[in-house]
Amino acid sequence: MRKLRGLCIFLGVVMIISAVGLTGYNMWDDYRAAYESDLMLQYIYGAIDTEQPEIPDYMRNPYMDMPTFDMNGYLYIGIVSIPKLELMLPVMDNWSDARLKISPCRYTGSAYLNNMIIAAHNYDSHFGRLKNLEPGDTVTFTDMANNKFYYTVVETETLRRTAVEEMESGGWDLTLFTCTPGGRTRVTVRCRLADEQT
Amino acid sequence: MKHNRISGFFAVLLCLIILFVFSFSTFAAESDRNGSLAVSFLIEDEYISDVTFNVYRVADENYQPVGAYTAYSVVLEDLLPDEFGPAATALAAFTVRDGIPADFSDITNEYGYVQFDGLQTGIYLVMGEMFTDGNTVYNPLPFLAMLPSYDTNGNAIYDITASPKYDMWQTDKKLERSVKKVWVEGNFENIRPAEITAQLLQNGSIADEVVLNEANGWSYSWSDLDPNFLWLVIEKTVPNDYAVSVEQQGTIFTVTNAYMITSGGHREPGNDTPPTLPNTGQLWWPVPILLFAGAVMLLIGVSLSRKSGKDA
Repeated sequence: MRKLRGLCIFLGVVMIISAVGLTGYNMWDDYRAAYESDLMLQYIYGAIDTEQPEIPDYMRNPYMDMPTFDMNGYLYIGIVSIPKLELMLPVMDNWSDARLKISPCRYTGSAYLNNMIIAAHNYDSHFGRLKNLEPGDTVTFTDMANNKFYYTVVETETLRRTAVEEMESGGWDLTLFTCTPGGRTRVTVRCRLADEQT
Repeated sequence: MKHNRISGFFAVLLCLIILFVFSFSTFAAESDRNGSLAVSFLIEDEYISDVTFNVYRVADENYQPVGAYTAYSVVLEDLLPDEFGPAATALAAFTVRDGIPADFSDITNEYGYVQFDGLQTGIYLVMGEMFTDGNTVYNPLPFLAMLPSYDTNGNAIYDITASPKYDMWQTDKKLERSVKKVWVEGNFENIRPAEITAQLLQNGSIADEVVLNEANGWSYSWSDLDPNFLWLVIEKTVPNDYAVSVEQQGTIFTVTNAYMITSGGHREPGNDTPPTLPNTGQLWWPVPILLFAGAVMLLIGVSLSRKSGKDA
């Protein structure tokens, strides 16, 4: 009986310490992601080409690759801004597990072809509050050539983690997604180009 | 009445036959139609003349490799927009390494423009030759052009124009190149080769070969490379059942081998499990479980303590 009592208390303490430890790690990871994103944002702002041709290159050839900025071996394609969430974040050219820990990443598509999908971790400093977006909210994407794309949120949906085709279908001009807290589904925000665009 | 019905039936049948023949003729005419590919080469809005562009027909209109390109395991079907570049880079490296002659070759005029006419339908690899201006080397990046291409309404376009991107570097600074091997194979990881050989190409000639494996993290770097040459990286021999693509990002060449299966006569990525969207979530779900379970264990432990205390 004494042994069983001791074992239960020991396991209880271990589990609670583990929960606290995991919470602490997640909070530190969120803070780290915010720091790295802010740092990258400063470099990207400095690298954005402010001189624009009369007719942007992408209008001549919408199939062109989006211009990139190389920082520490990672390529960035621009900045995504979500005023309602007070977010301004760099966006990497391609995604990987390692890249997602630093900043939002382009999952697929292109702003020039009106089919870009951006993924990010559900850090509070990244897309963790994506679910708070409502139809009518605005999103802006600025590429490295200083072309700005203005979007309006149309709807929010939740997709299964295996819904790869559904994520890429629907003809949406811009899609943002991240994991729900349990990780089994994806909060997905669908956007259309607003009338105003440069 | 019966005679009228039979006549009506044959009239309808004749109309259908005429319609079928007409449609088939139209389709055949479209398939036999030639097209043109124009290259407009600019650097910072300045037309660049006297740049040689070489055009290679790498696949037919059904995305099947043709000629010398049947020897290379580079899949061209169902490519996403961001996959064309890596496919082009891989094919370009194979082309220069193995000395495949161009189907068409010409130089840009004073307006940085060159046009290739009389091209049959298919997929073309377009490669511009590297050139030096002062202390700067410019290298037009290879790209793939589909003939015909299609607009958003599904209309075929047989006269296409492309503006290639370019890479540039200074001649007074040595170059670095790195290779990183990436495997895409779902649950078929157990059949992955233990190692592969990557080749460093110097203007198409093999300058070095390195073995990539798990021990070296499937990566390698070269430094102090002569900036007056074009340095590319390619896989020496693509493992069986894999397709290769090469993505150059700055100085890093990511050589991806994707496990392929043949289904319905077409090669497609093989995967034992359905594809999933990236995992973009932090690990939070264990927290409430651990807290609850921990609290329960503590309560049990405390309860047992009180019980033993009373018994005592």
